[in-house]
Amino acid sequence: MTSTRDPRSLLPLTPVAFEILLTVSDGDCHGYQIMQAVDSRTDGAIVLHPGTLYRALARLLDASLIEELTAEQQRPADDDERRRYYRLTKFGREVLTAEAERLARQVREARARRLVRS
Amino acid sequence: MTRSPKSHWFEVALLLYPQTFRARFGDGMRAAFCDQVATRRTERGTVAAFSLALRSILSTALHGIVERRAQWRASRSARTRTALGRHLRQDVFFACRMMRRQPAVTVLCIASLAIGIGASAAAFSLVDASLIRALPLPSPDRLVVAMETVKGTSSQVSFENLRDWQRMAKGFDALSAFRGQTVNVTGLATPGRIRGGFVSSTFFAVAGVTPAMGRPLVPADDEPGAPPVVVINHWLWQGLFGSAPDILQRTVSLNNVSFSIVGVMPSSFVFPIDGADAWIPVRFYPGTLTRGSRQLIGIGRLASHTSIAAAQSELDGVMASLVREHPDANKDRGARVTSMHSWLSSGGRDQLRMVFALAIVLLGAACANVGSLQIGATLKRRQEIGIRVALGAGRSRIIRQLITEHLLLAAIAGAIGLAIARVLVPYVTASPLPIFGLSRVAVDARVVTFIAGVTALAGLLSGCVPAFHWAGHTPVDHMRGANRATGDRRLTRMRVLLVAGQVGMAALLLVTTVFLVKSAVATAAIHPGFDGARVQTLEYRLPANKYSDRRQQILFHEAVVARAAATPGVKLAAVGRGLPLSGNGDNAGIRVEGMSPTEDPRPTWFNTVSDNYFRALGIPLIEGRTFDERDGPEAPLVTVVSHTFATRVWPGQSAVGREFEVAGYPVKPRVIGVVGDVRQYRLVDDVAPAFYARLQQNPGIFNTLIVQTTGDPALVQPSLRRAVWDVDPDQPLWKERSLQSLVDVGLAESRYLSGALAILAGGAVLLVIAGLYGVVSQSVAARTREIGIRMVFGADRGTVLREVLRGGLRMTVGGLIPGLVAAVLVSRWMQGYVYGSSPLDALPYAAAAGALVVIALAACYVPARTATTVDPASAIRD
Repeated sequence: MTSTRDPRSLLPLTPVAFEILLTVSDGDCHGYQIMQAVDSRTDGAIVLHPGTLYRALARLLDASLIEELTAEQQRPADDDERRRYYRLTKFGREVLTAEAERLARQVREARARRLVRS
Repeated sequence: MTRSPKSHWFEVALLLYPQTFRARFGDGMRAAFCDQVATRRTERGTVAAFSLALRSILSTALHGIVERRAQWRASRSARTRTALGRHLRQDVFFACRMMRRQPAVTVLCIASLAIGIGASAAAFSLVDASLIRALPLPSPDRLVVAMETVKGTSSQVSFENLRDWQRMAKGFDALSAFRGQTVNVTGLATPGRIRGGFVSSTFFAVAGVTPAMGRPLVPADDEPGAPPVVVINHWLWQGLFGSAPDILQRTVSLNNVSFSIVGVMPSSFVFPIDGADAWIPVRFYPGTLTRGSRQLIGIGRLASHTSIAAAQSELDGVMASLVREHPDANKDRGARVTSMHSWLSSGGRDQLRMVFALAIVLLGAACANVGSLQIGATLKRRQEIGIRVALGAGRSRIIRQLITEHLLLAAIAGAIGLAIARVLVPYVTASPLPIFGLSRVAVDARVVTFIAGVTALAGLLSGCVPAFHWAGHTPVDHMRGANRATGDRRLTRMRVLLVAGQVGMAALLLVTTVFLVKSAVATAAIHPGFDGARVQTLEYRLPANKYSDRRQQILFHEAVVARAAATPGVKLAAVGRGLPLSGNGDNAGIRVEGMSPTEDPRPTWFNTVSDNYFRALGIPLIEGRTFDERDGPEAPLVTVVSHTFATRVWPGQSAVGREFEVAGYPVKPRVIGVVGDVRQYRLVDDVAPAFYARLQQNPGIFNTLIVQTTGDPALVQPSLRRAVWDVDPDQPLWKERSLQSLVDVGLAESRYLSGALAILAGGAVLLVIAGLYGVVSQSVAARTREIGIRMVFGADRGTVLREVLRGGLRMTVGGLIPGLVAAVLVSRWMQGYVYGSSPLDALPYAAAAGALVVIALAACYVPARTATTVDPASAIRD
């Protein structure tokens, strides 16, 4: 959904929401794929269980940052039919970009104060 | 896929989620759980998989509880919002219907509240502008006025003392001298006069504002011999100099001295004391620079974290040391630090507070009126309310309904009150009282906020009485009482109390109004001691450096009088330094025979006049003669004294030929005549002793030209200007006005106050009429059946009429007594500005009580007549 909303109005995102959006920005994923990707990307610092993941997914869906793929949309033929696939929306990408830029600015500031080893 | 025990537990955890959530995400969550556990088992074995499954189930269960709680909260607030909106719409709709069903009560209620809200909002706009709103300068709470005191009485400040304060007192960021005085502007097309502010260079630091162009005054400008410089205000730059861009290269001639313009203040800058057009170094104000001369106001900006009390105690110490250093000049002297806002608003403050308090009393009377009318109206609604309660309307629902009705009434009244306030504000700002901040009075956001607050309060106050009363009854109570003739006894008693309260408040307002009207009448009857009809005047001040010689001054004044006297339409011409009621005048200390040498000279009013002064003003000669050619500059010093002077100093003896000593004059003047007394400063002041010197023996640079005309005084005005400009075309003139206009200003103050109070009292009387009429007619309507029965048993119409009137009168008297007692207290507070009355003067109380009784009888008469026309047969049948 293209929205006239300002992406910055949703910032800052929670770490879980940011990680989910980052994951689905690579391509359509189902719940467990997201859990795996987040786990490996954060070296286990963020472990998602189904409760955490799906409550976060529910909020992202309500905010139109991601959308659920329908049965007709492409999915592997031998897939578990219970799985639900999610895709980043255009607005979701704008929000993700805005959040990434915000974090980058923060890191720049921290680096300028020599708080981050480059 | 077969289910493991772990997936059973996961299913249980899923049950904790709201059903909608489960339906939407349950499958995905199950799949994710199974994938997660299966992968872990493959990678790390069964134990690790079991541990992960446990943590996952626990986490999912916890999130389920959180999600259920979040959804429950969201749905509850949505439900509440919807229900509230629906109820509010219903309440408003129902309230509109009730208002339409009883138009007379509705109109009376709205009119009452609108009068109360409008009057109190207008009074608030004045109080806010004068007493509440901060001064329009940075950190206004740190601005103070520092004055000297002499034996505890406030006095102006000596320049030398002020310089010592500046040097020694550390509790001030800046301290400056200030003296407001109009100055001549010459070198332009028409010589003019502007408002000058004679200040020390620290003035701009005190104000906390810097010029928009150029620079402020600096300490070097204070030094004797420094080039004359001036800072002008934005409006002078625009008006006098046509916004000239090279203004900082220009000069302006003020009091015949050429000043370089070094700065222009921003347009927003208004200094609240004597708003000046130009700020001039104080050394250019004549005679200010010695320790003994006290003509300045000290203004200061406190250092941050310094309180007024701390600054006061510091200046006390400084002044004590200055008294020791300069015992002659500073004998009995002290210092007083006051907040600048409080100093500015001290004039008329009591009157303002009184008007505001009485406006609130009127608003209270309006609320009481609405309360009493609405009690009567809701008595009729017992059955309706009973049905609503029986059908399940809760206690809070009934309260909300009744309060909504009153809030709606109040909101409409508030809108009308706003319009009334807008109509009243021009009247308020035309006040002749010396009130600070009149130019700031407006119906602005603050007044609208006040109206909104007062409206809500009035709605709640007038609505809560019937609301809580009805809410406390059971449906059966309502239904049973629905047809009872007299309604609920407690409610009726409350209604009577409210009407009596209104009468009391009206009595208070009426008594204060009669006091002020009486004062206005007494002031108008005061004979000022002169005849102001057909007298035209103008003022001028000669530049001291151009007319420094006494002889030059005498020649100028004589030439002006001669030219003015020769003008067609002028009967007599004269000059005088202090025209009565103009605020001008001198005081001189005198010593007379019999005074002990240690006694201080008596301060006595003193005026310098030309020969025809007394005749032109119609001041009668009582004894001896007035001034003439014999009393030339070199002739023996002579004086004319006022009647009070003569009778106080030489009681029972002739004053002519006597002499007395004038402080500062080496020669004793000899009295040649006695003239009638004149009210010099204010009409309402007691007559004070006065003496006069002849112009030729005591000339000066300031004078007022006075002419008695044969026709309309305004017609000779252009000729008077020419008479002066024929002598010196560069001489500025100002205050061109008739003497009668000064008398009118003197009368306006008491007229204004009595007018303002009359409006409030008029409003209160209207409310009393509405209240009594409403209550008595509602009670007659409710008692129709009872009256009918009594008439069947022989009561005649006269008895019924008397009884109804007696009921109304009882309420009136019940309210009158506390109202009159309150008025006694208020009238003591008013003594400072009521002329010719004492607080226990019987007339205002008798007049107010009499008027209210007559008004009450008139208001009750119509419903009483209705009661006598009741047809007994139909009353019993109905």
